[in-house]
Amino acid sequence: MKVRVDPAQCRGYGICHELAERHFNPDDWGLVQSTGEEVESHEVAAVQNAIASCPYGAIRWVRPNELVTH
Amino acid sequence: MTESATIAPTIRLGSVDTTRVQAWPGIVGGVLADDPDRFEDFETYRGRGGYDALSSPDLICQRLSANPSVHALHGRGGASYPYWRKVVAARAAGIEQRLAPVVAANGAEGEPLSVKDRYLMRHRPHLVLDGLALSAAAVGAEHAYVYVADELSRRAMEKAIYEASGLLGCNVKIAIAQDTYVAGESSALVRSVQTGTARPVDGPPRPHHVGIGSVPTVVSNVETLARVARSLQPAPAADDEVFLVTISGPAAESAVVEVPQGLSVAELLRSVGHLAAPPEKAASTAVLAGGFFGGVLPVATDLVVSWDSFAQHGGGLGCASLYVIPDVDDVMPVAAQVATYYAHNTAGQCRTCLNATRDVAHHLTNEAPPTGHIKSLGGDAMEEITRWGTQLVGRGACAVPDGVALLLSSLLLHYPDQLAAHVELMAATRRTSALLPVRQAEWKSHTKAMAEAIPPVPVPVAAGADGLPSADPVQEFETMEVPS
Repeated sequence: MKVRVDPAQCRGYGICHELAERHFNPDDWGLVQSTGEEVESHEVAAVQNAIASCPYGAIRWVRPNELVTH
Repeated sequence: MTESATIAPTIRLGSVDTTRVQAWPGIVGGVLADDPDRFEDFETYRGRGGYDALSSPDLICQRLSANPSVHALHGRGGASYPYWRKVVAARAAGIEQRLAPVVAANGAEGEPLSVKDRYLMRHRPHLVLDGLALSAAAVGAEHAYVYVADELSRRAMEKAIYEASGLLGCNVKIAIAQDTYVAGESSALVRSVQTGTARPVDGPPRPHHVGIGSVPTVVSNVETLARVARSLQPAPAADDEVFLVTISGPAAESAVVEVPQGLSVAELLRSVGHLAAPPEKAASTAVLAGGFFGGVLPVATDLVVSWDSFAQHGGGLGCASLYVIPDVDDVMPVAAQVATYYAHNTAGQCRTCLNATRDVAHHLTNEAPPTGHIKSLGGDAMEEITRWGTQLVGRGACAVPDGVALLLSSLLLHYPDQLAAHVELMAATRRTSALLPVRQAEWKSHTKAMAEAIPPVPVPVAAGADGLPSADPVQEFETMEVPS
């Protein structure tokens, strides 16, 4: 299981980065993209919290059968 | 630091009308006909064995699956995603979701330096349409779309659809693409057909899982489809990959050449008159690869036409278009134009892309700082450029940030001195403000003159008994005697 931030939705609040630092990586402008790391079972709660806390609803889970081509 | 460094030679965009089209000697059975400049009509195409495979639609999937050149075929739109893997994924998703997939031919060709797709649609529309119908049959699609921006290409495709409508086995429609850089991205195609807005959508799911009308959609470049059609016809090209490469540059007319994979880039450029330098000095010539997408690379002796070779040299082959930069001094002006183009031609959706393209263009040009320029994490310009070269990868809904990152990383790899000198020169010559200068001295004297010319209007002040203004002016006003 992985997460992905919709870059068109992100407005750079950075709450996800504070809640799950290993999975959300801000750039120079404070806009966040997921690091692409596999979410371990003990991190699921934190990542789910980050998903729920995003003011723009920009974060979503990526199912294992969904191919990421870029 | 000469003055010429600040005057950028404008990138010469190719035009389909003036482009020479030819096959590399020895390449037979590709997507180019014997006489590449002639339009191929329906009868000629039928006479060459065109549309024959469509007469037995049940066997098409097996025939394509058994064909090694179809398995080896990578998409020619720029992402080089394997064609057959996309077909298999869409077929599987269609079975899983109990929906008939849809196919689309992507002829938007938003890359400003590429003309090969427009050439194919204008001169061999039936070959493209045949490939589209074969893809439709392979995935079991009933509907197909031809997504095209160019007017003449659209007319040729419309005529071809009308002529071949009885043979296609599916309903083919034209979808008009916007003539923008991002319109050719596959998710932008899906969104454009559905809503008319040609802007990319972040994935997953990618279009071959959820596409037009939420149905799995195989989006293929028109050259890819032409190669699919060619692979089932008599005398196809060998199993090796064959490319249509668009070559342009200031030295000679632009050309589209069909070349085998692994051909030396220096040899190719020399054959079409774009490389005048002797072989040992070829590396002083640079190419802007993959349209605007694949970075700037020197023409090294071991640089060959293949995705792997371009990736090893720190660039990307993309849609296989090469823009030749004959002089090393012109590399940075060209890169600055590409950066400016990106800053003006994003989809305007992802904040990272908007900020990054704006700030990269800011560092590479001496225009005034853009409105809304926010100082980022710090460091000087070269530190920022170095950081963005790796940071921007994968940060957009489409691949524009990746293209900017590739441009910066290829410049840092091959032309670090020129880049540093250029950034320093741009910073030294940068205009400070985009606003027109306000002539403050004149304005002040004008106000002063106005103030002196008009005498102040005397205001009658109601005075109380002691000669001072009354505590309650309203009451004072009411009891005031009107002078006669």
